Amino acid sequence: MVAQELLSHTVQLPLPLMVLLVGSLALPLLGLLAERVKLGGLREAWMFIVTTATVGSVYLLYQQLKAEPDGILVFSLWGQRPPVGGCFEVDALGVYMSGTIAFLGLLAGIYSFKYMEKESRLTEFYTLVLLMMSGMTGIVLAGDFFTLFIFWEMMSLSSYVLVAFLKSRWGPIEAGFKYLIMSATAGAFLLLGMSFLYGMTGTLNFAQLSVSLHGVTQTPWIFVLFSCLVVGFGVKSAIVPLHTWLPDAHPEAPSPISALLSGIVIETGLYGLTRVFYLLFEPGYFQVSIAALAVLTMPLANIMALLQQDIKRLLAYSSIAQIGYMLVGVSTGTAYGIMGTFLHVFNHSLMKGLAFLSAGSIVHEAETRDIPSLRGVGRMMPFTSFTLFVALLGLGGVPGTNGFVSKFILFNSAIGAGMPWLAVIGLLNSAFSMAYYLRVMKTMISKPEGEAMKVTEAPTLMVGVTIVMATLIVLLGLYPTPVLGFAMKASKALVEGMREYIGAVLP
Amino acid sequence: MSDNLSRYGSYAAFLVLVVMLLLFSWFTTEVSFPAFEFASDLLPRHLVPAEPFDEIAERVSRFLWENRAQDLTGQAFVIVTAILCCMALLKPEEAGG
Amino acid sequence: MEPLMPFLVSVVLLFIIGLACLMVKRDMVRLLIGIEILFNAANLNFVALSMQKSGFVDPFAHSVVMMAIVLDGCVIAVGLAMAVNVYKHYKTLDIRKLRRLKW
Repeated sequence: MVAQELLSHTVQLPLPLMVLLVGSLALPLLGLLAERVKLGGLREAWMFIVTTATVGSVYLLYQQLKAEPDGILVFSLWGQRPPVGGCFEVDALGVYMSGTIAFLGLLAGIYSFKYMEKESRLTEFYTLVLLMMSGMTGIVLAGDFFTLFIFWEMMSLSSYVLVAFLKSRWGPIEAGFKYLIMSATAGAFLLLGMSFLYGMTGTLNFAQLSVSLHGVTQTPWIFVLFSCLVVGFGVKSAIVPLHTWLPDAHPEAPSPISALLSGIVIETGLYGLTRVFYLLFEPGYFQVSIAALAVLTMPLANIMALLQQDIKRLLAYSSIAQIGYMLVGVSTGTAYGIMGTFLHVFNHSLMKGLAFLSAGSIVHEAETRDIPSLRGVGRMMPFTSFTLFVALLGLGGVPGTNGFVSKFILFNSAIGAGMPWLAVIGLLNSAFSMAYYLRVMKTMISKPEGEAMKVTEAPTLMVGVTIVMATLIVLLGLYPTPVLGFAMKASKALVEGMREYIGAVLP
Repeated sequence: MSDNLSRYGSYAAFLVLVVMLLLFSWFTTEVSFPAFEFASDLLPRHLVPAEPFDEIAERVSRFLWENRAQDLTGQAFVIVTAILCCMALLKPEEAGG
Repeated sequence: MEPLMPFLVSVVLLFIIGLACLMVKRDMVRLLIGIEILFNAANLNFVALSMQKSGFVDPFAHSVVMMAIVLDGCVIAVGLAMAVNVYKHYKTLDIRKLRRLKW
């Protein structure tokens, strides 16, 4: 009794984070046991249990959040007062993002049971995937800038090594090293930005920073701070001048890791950017710069994607273009635009995750990533290529898939915020991107020749996961209301719920 | 051609860096940094007197453990992550996965 | 009040030296040292700004620095492990030879 009360009073962490951290600590021990006792599948079973428990715990966190009068939950350890101590501040946006993370983690985890079964060092693989997910969950639930930085480094470290995981080939190692150098530099820029923020306000707590920095006179140092933060968050979320690690890193990673990286890691970088900018600066301050970055990102990524011969590299460039669309929503400064951005975050995680997973099935069977040699694979692997089609149609924004809904809201909000040229550029890019998606589809459906005659359908588990995701894409495209409502609540909590956010921490 | 690029490339990078250095030094000396100008008065003051020099470390560590224990636990997990990362990178790839 | 400007200028100087090291040097271990210099410049900034009230030191910045040093050490450790693997494949630590992934 005393122990239980002590536990619930002292160890106050948000539930998904606790589940993931405890799970990732127990996994190395289980892995050691699995090797000694030769018990196959123990690690996979534990991974499945932990990821399912995470999805459940996000739901429980949401129930806890609804029970609060203000709609904000603050977690801090051992009764340490938030403005000086670190804290986790959970609002609807945090729950939305951690739900996306948990869901895609579950699907990619199940897929990787079959994909990675012949690899070595599997214990480290699954543990690092769980640690990456817990790092991301910590970022979206953080209430203090330094807590965000610690979990940011946790996510980054595990993602460097997961990219370079198949270390017997030179490709992943080179890609992983370049990724490490660029991302560690961005971490240093982020730390420098934090030091300027500390110097100006004396604190690193989000609520306190928001109170201190709203409506101050603009000195040139605020612009220096803004650029440091853009570089720091922008490398991780692959905004254009800082994106050069992505086309190397995402193809060379193993396919479930590519799906996780493109699906949620870069979106978590975008979440960090959005949260920090909406808390610290007036929307009018950064609207033009973010819109300019979006206009730079979309065409460059689409043009480069058109020139690719490697299917995973094409999907990687497509991820950069999708980040450009999300930046359009961030630059509007309204709750409607942010709703479009975060709805697109969830939809893109499903669609790009599905695209990488089904492309991964094809690569697994055909042993090549080159699009011309994959001519006709579609006829040999009907289920997988059907799901790839659904994913590509969704990415292009065809009506009937959930990609259409989120792109519609994004471009609509750009018009509503007084930037119609941004909507026009976005629409042109979206239409242009269908060109390379259709090229992939055409190659898949052609008559099989040579290489492609030998492939068979992928293992059932992998196909099963992709079919589930494809069904969800079409279902949410025809009936988007549940996710739409949740995204609306999340965006309102970010843009209009500032008073509640600050009031939960400061008296 | 790429030989020339690498030779002139590093000189060009040097030049860019010297220009950036002069620019930012001028900027730092001319525009004063608004140190703690925006600090709100609600900020609780936990200042440590700088005079007995040897005791600063002990008081800072007490502050750290009392107020930032959550971040320290997070940092312990980051160290565990780094250990697992190095193990994943440096283990030989046999069938003993 | 301790004079702030010399510290800020030295932080800017260190930061630019770190960026110079990243841009110009070709050995992988030197790139990792450049990243270390960047992190240390940011830590120096934290400490310099914590001394802005005369006679007192703000322990918050010092605790942030202590934790940032550990995090940075972890990043460098993983970077060195990766450099070991690069050496196994490419037989050199010259980053200009890592050009096989193009386009």
